Amino acid sequence: MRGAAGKGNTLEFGPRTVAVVEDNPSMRKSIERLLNAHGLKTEGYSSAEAFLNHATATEIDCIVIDIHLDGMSGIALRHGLKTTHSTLPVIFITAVDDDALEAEARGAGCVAYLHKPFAAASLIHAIDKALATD
Amino acid sequence: MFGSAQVGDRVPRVLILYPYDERIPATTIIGDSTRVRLLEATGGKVDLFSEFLDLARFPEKRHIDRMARYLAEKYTDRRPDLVIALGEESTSFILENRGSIAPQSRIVFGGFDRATAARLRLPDGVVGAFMEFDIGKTVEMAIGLQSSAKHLAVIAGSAEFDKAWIATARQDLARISRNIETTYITDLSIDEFVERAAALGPDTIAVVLTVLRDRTGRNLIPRHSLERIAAAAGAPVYGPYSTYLGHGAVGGYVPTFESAGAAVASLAIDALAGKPISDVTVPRTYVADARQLERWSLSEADLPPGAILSFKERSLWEDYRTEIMAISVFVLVQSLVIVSLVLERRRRAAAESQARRRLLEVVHLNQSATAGALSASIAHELNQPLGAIRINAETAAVLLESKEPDLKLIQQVLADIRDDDQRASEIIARMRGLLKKRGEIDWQDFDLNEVIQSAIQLLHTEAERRSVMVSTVATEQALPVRADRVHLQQVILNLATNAMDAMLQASRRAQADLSNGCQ
Repeated sequence: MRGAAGKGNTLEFGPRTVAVVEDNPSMRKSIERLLNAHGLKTEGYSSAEAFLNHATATEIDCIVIDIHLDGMSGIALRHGLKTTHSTLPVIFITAVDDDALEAEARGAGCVAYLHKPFAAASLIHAIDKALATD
Repeated sequence: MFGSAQVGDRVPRVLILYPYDERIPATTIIGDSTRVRLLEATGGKVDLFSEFLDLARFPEKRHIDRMARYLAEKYTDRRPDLVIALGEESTSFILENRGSIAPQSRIVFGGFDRATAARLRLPDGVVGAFMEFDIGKTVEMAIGLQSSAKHLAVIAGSAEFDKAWIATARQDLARISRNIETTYITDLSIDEFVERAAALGPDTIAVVLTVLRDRTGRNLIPRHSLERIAAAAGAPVYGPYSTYLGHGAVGGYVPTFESAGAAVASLAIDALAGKPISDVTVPRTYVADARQLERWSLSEADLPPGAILSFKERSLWEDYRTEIMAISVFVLVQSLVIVSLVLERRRRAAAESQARRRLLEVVHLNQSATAGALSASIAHELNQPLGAIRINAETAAVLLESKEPDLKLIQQVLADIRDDDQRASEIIARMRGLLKKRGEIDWQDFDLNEVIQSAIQLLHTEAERRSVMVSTVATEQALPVRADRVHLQQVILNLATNAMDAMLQASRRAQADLSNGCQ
């Protein structure tokens, strides 16, 4: 475990990067802007495929995934990441209220599972938690 | 044409002999009818003389001779060119006294039958219009009207004429009365005749021939006798004379005295013109009195064909029965057609509106069902802008807290909030259109591809939740249709939802292909 203490100094290692995989443009934009306002770097992707093709996994500290994506779903992406980046913390966000889906998502493994619309504080809290465990 | 009939420079003289007095209708009707026809045909250029011989009341030879002498004297300076003798007695009289009264004249007669003529042994050149009476046909008419009649009572007086009638009737009626018992009532006083007639039952046919004189020797006018008898009779009374009609007789088969007069006049005109003439028979007809039919409850429909019904208060209905019936039937049929069309139209309209209402109800139920199924999609769609708005609002708050707030960024954030709010409103409006209970079909022209696209967009989240891939293949060209956009969207959503339901047990990588048949 890399621990918050070792890598906790953001000045030393530069700002932490959060990938946002979200197909809704305004949602993606607002999340990125919120995280930026909290001093985090962000990389936005409109689909799971785009993320897999372009993201440099090593530079990413946390990933926020919308479960309902065009093409590959958020949960499928999570399963894919498990094999390559097993330790990358994942935060699921969704606009759908579905218990079965939530259970499946939590089963796939995640730091947090947030229903849109969610409070900005709950996302920040989840990201803080993800980065701390990172 | 009549010019040749003129004798010298004067108009022709015609003497009409009446056998009785001026009150006997039969002869006066023939005489009047003859006079009218003669005056018409000659344009008034004829001298008409009338003599009433009164031989019923004065049948004695003395009277006849006196009368002959008188007329011979009377017409000394004005000898008739033509003598018209009405009835048997007049004819007999002029034949006997022709030489003294009218030696040069032609003789035309009328008002009796051929049997009488044979008895008179008429000389050549004496020509007339025969009145043939057929009492058998009168009784046949009576049987037609009274089909259940059991008795036939034939009534006649005591005069020679009356007795001759009885003899003729016995002969004629022998062939008729097969199932009917026939009684001859004769040789009674007029009061006794009335009494006997009153005692007759309604199953009897009463026939009055003539009562010129009764058993007591009282002279009577036959029509008056008939009138008294018929008034008291307990059975319908018939007679062989048209003069009886209107005086209590139901009717009979009669030669009318008017037509007899016309026939006599025709013969007289031809004779005066020097044309050859020969005997004629006066046409006969069935006649009936409507009031008597009603009195005895007899049906007009049972009259022989061609019967003349008199004294009928004819209603508009009777005068124009066929027309009224035809018009009524037409109006009725037309009304029925109109009513049925109106009912049909109303029924159809009701059925149509009911069908439309049902359809809309079904559509609405479907909408509700679909709405349930699509709640995930609705939530998803609305939660996207709502989520963005919330985050943006909180981001703005964070930005404002910094020492040097980036106002430009804050402005952008606020603009995005406004846009997302707009998006949310649009989604709600779209959902409302889909879920609203609609009273009318909203016809619109649009591209089918558009509607499919929007339906699939709605379905997207639900499909994903069920791990169903939905792929659409739109046609290259637009598919213009005229329909209710929401209903069509409904149909597509239903089809797709049903397809997904059907695949519930299928493999997880199921695929629902939605392509329209127009490709």
